[in-house]
Amino acid sequence: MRPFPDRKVATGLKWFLSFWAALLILRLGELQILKHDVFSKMKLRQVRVLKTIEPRRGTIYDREGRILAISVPAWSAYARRALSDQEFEKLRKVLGLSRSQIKVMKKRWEKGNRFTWIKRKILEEEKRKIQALGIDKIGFLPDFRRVYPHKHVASHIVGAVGVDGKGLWGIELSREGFLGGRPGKMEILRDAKGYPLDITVKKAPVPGRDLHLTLDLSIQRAAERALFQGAKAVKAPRAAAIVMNLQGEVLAMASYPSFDPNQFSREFAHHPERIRNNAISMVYEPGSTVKFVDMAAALQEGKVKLGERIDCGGGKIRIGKTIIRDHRPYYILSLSDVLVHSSNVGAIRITQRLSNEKFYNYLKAFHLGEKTGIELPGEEKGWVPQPRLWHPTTKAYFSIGQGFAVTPIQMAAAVGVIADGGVWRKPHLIPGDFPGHRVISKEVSSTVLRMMRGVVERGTGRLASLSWIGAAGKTGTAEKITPKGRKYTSSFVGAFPYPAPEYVIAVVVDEPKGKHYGGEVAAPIFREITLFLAEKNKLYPVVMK
Amino acid sequence: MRRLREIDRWMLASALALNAMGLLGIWASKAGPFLVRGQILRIFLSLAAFFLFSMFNYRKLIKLSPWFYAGLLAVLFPLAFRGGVSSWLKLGVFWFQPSEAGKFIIPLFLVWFFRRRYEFPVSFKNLMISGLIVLLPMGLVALQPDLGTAFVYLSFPLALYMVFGLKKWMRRLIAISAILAAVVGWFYFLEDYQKRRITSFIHPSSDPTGSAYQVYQAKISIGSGGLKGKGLKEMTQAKLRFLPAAHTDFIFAVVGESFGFLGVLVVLLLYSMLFFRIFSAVEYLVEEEAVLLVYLLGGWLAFQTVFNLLIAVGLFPVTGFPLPFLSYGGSNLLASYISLGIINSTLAWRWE
Repeated sequence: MRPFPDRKVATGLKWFLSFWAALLILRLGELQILKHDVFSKMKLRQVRVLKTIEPRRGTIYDREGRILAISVPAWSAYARRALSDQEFEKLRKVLGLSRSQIKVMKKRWEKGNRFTWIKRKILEEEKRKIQALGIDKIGFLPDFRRVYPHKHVASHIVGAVGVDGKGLWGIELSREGFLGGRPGKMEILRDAKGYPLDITVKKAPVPGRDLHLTLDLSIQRAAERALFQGAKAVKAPRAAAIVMNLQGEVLAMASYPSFDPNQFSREFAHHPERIRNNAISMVYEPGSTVKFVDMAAALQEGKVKLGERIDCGGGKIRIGKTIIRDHRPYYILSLSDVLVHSSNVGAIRITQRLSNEKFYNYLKAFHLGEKTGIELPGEEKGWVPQPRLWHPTTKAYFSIGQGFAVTPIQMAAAVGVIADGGVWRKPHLIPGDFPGHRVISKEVSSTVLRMMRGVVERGTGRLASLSWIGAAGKTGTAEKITPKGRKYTSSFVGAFPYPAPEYVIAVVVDEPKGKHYGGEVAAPIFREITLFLAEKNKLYPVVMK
Repeated sequence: MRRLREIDRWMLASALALNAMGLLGIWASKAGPFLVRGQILRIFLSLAAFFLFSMFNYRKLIKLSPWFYAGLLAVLFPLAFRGGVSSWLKLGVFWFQPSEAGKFIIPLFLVWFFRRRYEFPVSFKNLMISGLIVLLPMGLVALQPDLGTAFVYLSFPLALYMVFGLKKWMRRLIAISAILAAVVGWFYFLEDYQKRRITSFIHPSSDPTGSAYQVYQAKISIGSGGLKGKGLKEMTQAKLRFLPAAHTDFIFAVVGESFGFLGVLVVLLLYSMLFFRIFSAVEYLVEEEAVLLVYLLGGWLAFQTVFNLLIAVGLFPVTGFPLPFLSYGGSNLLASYISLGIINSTLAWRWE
């Protein structure tokens, strides 16, 4: 029997406790001294969240200072933690979330994500509605919403931004760096439940700069109204109209069909064809409109003289194995009447006097088949093959605008050469100095312009005439052989007013049903636009007293 | 008053210093004095109980202990079968955990039982009866379910074993039945969340958000405290609500974060002083029952302290019980001070 009370037990107990104390001190030394940095970093990682601050995007104005696109302060709602079904039901009533959107959010939570966007870029009013629900898991971060007050008008030029606020189309895309600004950074100190406790701005965002376009919203509206009416009347699937001034500034650029940039993602998903900017992306055969180029080339080269008579062979000419006809039989036409009545035979006869290379060089000098370099995404190049690829018959077809392809903006710029005294100017939407380059002499250009005046006055383009103010233009009707049969591209390019042009206008309507001559389909649209321009500039007939 | 002069001043001083550290920790865990005022009141009430029990003759307590024990069982029994998580009882205006009272009632009753039965090693009959005395309230507490407190009750058989020793075959019997109990408990009694605490201790990556989360956050708290700590004003893990039960069971992690390695060394030093004084008291005692009582009472305090600290530094699976003298809360503080009071009573009344 051991003695009791026993000192050995107490001593043993003290040693035992000392052992644990030593173990604890070693462990605490490991955690607090050796691994201090590791744990400090772990703590910061769960406490600090770095978020970008969206910069305010620049405003887009037209040439008169009217707002085309503007960023307004908005909020983005997010959930800190998973929401319950009842909370979703409440939210759905207020926000109108679809079931699939809710499913996507739930999946994110299942994957272990805590932070989830509920709805981005909502306005103050909607934010208040959500706050009224009293769900404390929902927070709001400041954001901006891009607003396009004119909706469809000029949508192809202005473009649109995505949910991240980055440009997706139009000027918004091509001038992203200018409009976008630079995002800032903020540090959010948050607690375990995700509530932000403190927000410090680490880097202030640099707002984007404002952009003024050469566009004139009133002309844009008129051009769109005229084009859309005209295109709908002939059930055309696509059409385009461009109005430029002589400096190459685009005043209006209408593309049919069009979209609402406020709903860009939805439009893109369901109607991708609406997004396309037909004014720069539609590749078509120019048809007879190219004959003013033939005429300018031949005159500049001195191969024809004003007043010369051209034998139009009764409206028939044999090219290789096929016979090309005029729409009406012509025999002997004056040089200008070849253009006025759009004689294919006459145009072929004239270009036969030019070598392949010379003719090709003129097409290139007029920038056909070349990107104009306008500040918009999606511009097409068209297609004008080099002379070494030509058949013996190619030049003849080219001279009547068949066998090569251009875009409406290229044709508008080409007419600009005639209207501006022989100088080609780059079409542009952002003001700036763009040196033109001379293509033909001033005399030749005014001669051709006078001939084109005849087209509107007494030729194929009479429906383009306002009758009290002169205009110059050229009609075009290109045949398309498609699997679904014969179709047409009707176009009209011209300058207004005559004799001192201020505007260059191109109208292209693709695949019209029923009427298909450029003089019937496109010329009235041209007339509508010039009517608006005349009223805008108060161009009334001068009455001699 | 004569008895009060016999109180071990170092013991009381270290307990009070630990209280002070606890108040700082509570302050740090809640970013302000919200809970501190209430805790100061609890400390004063518990101190009053300490002085009362210090002056009271412990022999009378032992004599009365069968009644205390019966009362304890009578209170624990309905709590165990009331359903839900219910370890609280309302006493007047105070909410009280009766299981905490077991921490000084069971030792008193064990001493009462062994009064005339000192055998070394213990006889089989006494082993069985004393085992039953502990297991009965332990089972009831475990049924509440309050596994943390039930776990602390394990300190009593441990202390008895250290004092009395066991025959070899008894040791084997206890080892085998403990393993059996563990296996049966695992498959029949433990809830899923309790099992997860154990599995997540063995494989911390198996459950990073659940109970392993607590340990993970406690380790981050202590580790990020570094050598000198962050002070009271810094946004600590507890204030940011990353650390669950920060002011109660995991107060040590808060102290570690706010006052650093130096701070926790002070805490460890104070505990060392406290337990050194408690177990040194044995050397002054002449009566067997007083010695056994000190071992049992000091035993549970030391046991609960060591395991709480081991849990906080991630060396033991999470089992919820407070840190004596430091944690926020009244029941455990009261039980701790009463135990300390009884220990002092054995010193004060040792010559009579």
